[in-house]
This record gives sequence, structure tokens and C-alpha cells, in this order.
Amino acid sequence: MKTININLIGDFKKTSKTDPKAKKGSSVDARNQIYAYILIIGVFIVFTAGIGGWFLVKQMTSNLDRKLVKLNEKLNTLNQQETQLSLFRKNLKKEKEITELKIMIQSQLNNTFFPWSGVLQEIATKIPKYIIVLKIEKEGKATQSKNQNDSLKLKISGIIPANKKQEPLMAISLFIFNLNDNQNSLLSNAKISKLDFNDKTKAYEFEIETSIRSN
Amino acid sequence: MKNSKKTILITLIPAVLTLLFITQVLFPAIQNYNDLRNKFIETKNTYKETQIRVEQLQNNKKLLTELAELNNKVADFDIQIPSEFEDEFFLVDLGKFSINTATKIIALDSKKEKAFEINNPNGDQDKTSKKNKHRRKKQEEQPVYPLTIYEKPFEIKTLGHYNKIINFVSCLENYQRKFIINGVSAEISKNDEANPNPKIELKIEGSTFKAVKNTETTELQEQ
Repeated sequence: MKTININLIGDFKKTSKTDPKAKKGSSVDARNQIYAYILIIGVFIVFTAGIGGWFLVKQMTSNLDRKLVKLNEKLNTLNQQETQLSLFRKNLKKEKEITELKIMIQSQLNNTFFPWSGVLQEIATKIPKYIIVLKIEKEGKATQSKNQNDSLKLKISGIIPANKKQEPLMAISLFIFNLNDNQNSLLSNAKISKLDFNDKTKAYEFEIETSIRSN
Repeated sequence: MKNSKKTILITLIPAVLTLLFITQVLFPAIQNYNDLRNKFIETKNTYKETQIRVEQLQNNKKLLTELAELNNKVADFDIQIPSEFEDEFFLVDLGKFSINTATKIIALDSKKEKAFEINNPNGDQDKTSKKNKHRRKKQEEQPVYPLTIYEKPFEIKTLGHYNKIINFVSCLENYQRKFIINGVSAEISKNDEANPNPKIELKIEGSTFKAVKNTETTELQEQ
């Protein structure tokens, strides 16, 4: 704000006085101007940095997104592979289980095997002369367990004519002896269970019981 | 004074706009990036775990070798214990044995098939008293195997000289199919009693077997 002095009497003095308040006001303006500049520059810097940061983050996000898509694709492939492989493994395990069971069954059945032809052969080789075997009969029941196989017995019935040169009782005794003689043989623990003399046929009828060894 | 205020106010507008930009655009973008990064790390970990599992699964060689070894042991299982009794073939084979050993099959009696009890050697611990109770319990708790074995008992009567009959029994023992002889009984043939070298009548009790796959068990296991 300016005041103009008009001197009508004296020299015209072209002087101008500024109001101290107005003077003070002009200095505040300049400072504000500086503040404004600083603020604008600061805002500009922050804004530019923000834009830069935003672009950078956007770029990184897009890169990461692409990587994630690729990774997901790989993961899907891997998952498919895993499903197939686990199915394959499952089948293998199932097959293994069946095979192990087959082995178990086979071994169980093999344990029940008994060489009957060997038993018959053994009897044939151990019968003394003049003894006629009429019947070979199985007693007891063959079971699947090895231990229980011991209960399996054979009843051998036969006759020996009394008019022969060899003594009949000696021959029967020899037969029992032969059966018990070899400890590794299939038949063991032979004993006489019945001995009768048949007057009509003039022959001794006998029955021998023998155990069958399981192994 | 008014001008300077105006100037400051005007300069504040970009500042506010910048602030808005930072809060509404930049921060959410960073947040989004962080979320994506976490997701990526998570997926990467899952991928690594899956990769390890797949590598482990790919290492099936050991299992395959084991299986091949086991299969070698039971290579003839399907011949020994077929899936059906196949009596027609059994009869043909019996006929062959009889011709080859010069014996004569005079009777053949087949009995009703029954399930064969599979004894697991690992599960034989309760062999103590109270057998009946335990047996009943055991039957109830019998594990369901993927295979069931059925046994068909036979009674074969054959006629021939003693040594020929031994050969016939031997043929049955060495038969490619599993034929378990449970017992034999022999006696001199009544028609041949007067003969110094009489023929023998041999009764053979034995069983053939068949193995049936349990599809229900397999399905249950799969589930």
C-alpha cells in the first residue's frame, strides 16, 4: 500500500513511503514463495519416485506372475506324473502282496506233501520172504501242520503161512525190526497190534501199526 | 497475503494427489507384489516337495527287482494251482498216468470243494489253550487275502501190481498240478487173491486246488 505526499507549498518531493506493515507483508510472500517452490519440487520428486517405484513394482509383479504361471504348469505336470507313478507303485505293491501270498500258500502246501510212493517202496523193501501183505491202511488224518503229521499211522495187515520153513513169528518180528531199523526211514515206531492163528488157512494173521515220520 | 495462501494451497494439491497416488496405487501394487511373491514361494515349496516325492516314486527299481525275484519263485504257481479245477484235464492226465504205469483206475469219487485255510506263519502266536474259543475267534478275525484257495478232495481207486501202483502214486506226486495225497490204503484185489503175484487195489485220498482272486478285497484296498 502506497501513500502519496502532496506538498503544495514546498518543493515537489517525489518521495514515497512504504507502510511498514506492507513491507512486512512483502517479505512473507517471498518466503512463502520459497516454501511453495520447495513443496512443489518435493512433491515432484516424491511423485516421480512413486511413479518409478510403481512401474518397477508393476514390472516385477508381471515377471513374477509369468514365473508363477510357468511354475504352476510344471507343478501340474509333476502332479500328473506323481498320480501315475503312485498308481503304478500301488499296483506293484498289490502284485507283490499277491506274490508273497502265493509263496506262502505254496510253502504251506509243500509242507503237507508226504512221499507216499516212498512209503510204499519202503514197505516193499522191508517185507521178509513168505509174508504176504494184504492191506495197508492209513489211520489218523494228515493235516497241514508238520507236527500234527506225526499222528499219521499206517496199519499193515498180512498173513504168513505156518507151514513154511521159516518160523512165522520170527518173520513178523524181522518185518517190525526192518521197519524200526533205519532211523532215517519214513516209517518208524512199528509195533505188533494183532496176531492170530487161523486154523482153517493154517496161517498167522497179523496187524502192525507204524508211525509215519513227517520229515 | 491472500496470494501467498493461494499459492501454498495450489502447491498442496499435487502433494495431496501424490499422497493419493502413493496410498491408492503404489501401496496396493507393493502389497499385490508381496502377496504374489508369497504365493510364488509357496508354490515353489510345493513344487520341490512334489519333485522329491516323484523322485522317490521313480525309484521303483528296487520294488520291481523284488517283485521279479518273488515272481521267479512262484513261476509255476498258476500251473500248480489254476484259477479253475479243470477236472476235464485232470481226468485226461489221470488216464495218461494209468496207461504209462500199467495200472487201471477203477473208481474216482470227487467230493465237495471247500475253502483252504491259509495259515500266516507270522500270525501263529496264539497257540495256547482254549483252542475252540480261539479257533472261533480266529475264524472271525481271519484276514481277507487277495487270493482264496479252494480244495477239492478226490478218492481214486486204482488197480495194478504193487510196483506199478507205486509208479502211479509217484506220478501223482510229481504231477505239474498240485495234488496233495492225504493218505493211501492198499489191499490185495479180491479177484486176484489166488494169484501168487496178485494185483493191489490202492485207494488214494488227495486234493487238487484252485486259486481265486478276491476282487472285492482288491476294491476295498483300493478305496
